[in-house]
Amino acid sequence: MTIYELIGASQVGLIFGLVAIGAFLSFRVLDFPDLTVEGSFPLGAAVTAMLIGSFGWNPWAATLAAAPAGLVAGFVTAFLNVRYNILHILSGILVSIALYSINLRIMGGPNRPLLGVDTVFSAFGRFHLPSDVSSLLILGLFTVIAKIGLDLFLATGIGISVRAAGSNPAMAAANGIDVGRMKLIGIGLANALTAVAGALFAQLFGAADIYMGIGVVIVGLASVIVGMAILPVRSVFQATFACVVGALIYRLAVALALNIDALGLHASDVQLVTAVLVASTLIWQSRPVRKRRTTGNATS
Amino acid sequence: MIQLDNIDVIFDAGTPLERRALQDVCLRMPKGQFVTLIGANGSGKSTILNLIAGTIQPNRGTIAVAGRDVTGWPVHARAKLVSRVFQDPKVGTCENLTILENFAVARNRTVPRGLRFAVDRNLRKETARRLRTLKLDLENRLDDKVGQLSGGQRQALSLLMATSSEASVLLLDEPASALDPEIGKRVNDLAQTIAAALSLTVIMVTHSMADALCYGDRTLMLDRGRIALDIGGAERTATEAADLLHLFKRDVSFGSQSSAD
Repeated sequence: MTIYELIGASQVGLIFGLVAIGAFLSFRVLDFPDLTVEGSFPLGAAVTAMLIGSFGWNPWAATLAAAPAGLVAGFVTAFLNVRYNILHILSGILVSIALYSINLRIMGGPNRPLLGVDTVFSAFGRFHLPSDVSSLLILGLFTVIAKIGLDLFLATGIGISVRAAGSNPAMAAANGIDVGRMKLIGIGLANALTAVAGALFAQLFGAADIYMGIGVVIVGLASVIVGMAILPVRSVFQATFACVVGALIYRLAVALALNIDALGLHASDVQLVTAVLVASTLIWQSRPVRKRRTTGNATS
Repeated sequence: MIQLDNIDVIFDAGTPLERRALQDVCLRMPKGQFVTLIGANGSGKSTILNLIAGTIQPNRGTIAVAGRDVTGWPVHARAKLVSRVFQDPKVGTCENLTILENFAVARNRTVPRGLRFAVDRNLRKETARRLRTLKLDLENRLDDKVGQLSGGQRQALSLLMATSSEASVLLLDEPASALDPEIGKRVNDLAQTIAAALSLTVIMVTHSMADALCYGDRTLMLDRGRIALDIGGAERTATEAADLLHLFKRDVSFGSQSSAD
């Protein structure tokens, strides 16, 4: 594996670190398996690509503009679940297929190139750093800010209510927490993070594409699972750190696997490898191990 | 303080499984009254607590708490007026949060923290002070996850959290039944002490005839969704657990006859 491949894998790993933090918020904190991200990842890419390419926005503003777009997508999913009792998984699928059409509308086609325009990765140009290294720094900046931002948020009054609502809805409601509203906030934020990840992904690879969301939910979840399996997660701070590290390790492992010729894997096999990895980790975790404390069902 | 008027609760209405859980129940409790509630399984004890807490809505009738008609209010809105300790210690506290964070959740309902940090120095000091009264050595474990505590410890926490807001009604759903008898008695005693100190209006559901007479100042017995017995004052003082058990058996058999009509 060359140094370029290593840097490339780390760049993608950092982007998926954002997705992983979002997946942590929805899957782990709120216990809400949110599939909206398959649509909100390309949504963020589409919004940012259009704002930069067609409206000449500053790339930083355009990247941040992906967040409210993702937030709305997450709100809709959570609203379908909370208000109309539609199963959370189904709500997410409904919103993500709706986003497929919406993204086509936004981009006016299946993809939108971002070549020859300024992106957030052009910002360090004046420091004469190799572009790969400056991209890595900028991605690291986004991921660290998102990680610390979420840590701080989850320590606030609202944040702790989100955590209680996900962990024990009956207790949360009895303590005056509107559990439905907390799902709206949490799923909205998770999708805002994912949309920003999509926006960065599009700028890194020079195009937004309608199909770039496929498998995002599983990659995010894989990162959370890998990170939490190998690092201690006694606090929120440690958990979000584990998610980012998980995303990096996951991406590096994939890059490594694709590089080992003996394995005979093609780039197109990544989704299969991911699915097998996630499934086998979940199967391994579901074994009745005496030492492992089962997450007891708190609703009696 | 609590007023139930002509409450009907019908589960699975309009289906072959239709069951009348409560029938024309009326109950008035003045402020500061401590009622113990007994009855066979399925007699409607928990249904009454769920009605007041808001987890189920009546098919007919109105519920008023602290002079406000709360019929139709969701659980989280009623939490301003009503606190609850659940039967299962796991439900009353949040196992993934630390002791301090659990108290932060409880404080949040009286003093919403919004985007300020949920845990601050005041909360730490105040929580440690309140935990010291339990004498369970929990004041030194503020940053431990609640999931690491025993059922009795969690139930004691649950009780402290339930009584740390301005809610003046406390619902106790067999708080001691999942605990061993000694710890259970301590939890019940603690509930009685706190309720008296804060002059809370309390309904305690219990399976124990002795507890029903030992705690509080009024005892209700439910039978098939109706209040079959309502005693207080001297009459209650003169009643013993054995009498209650006798009544209980008679009422249950009486109930089965009347339902055969």
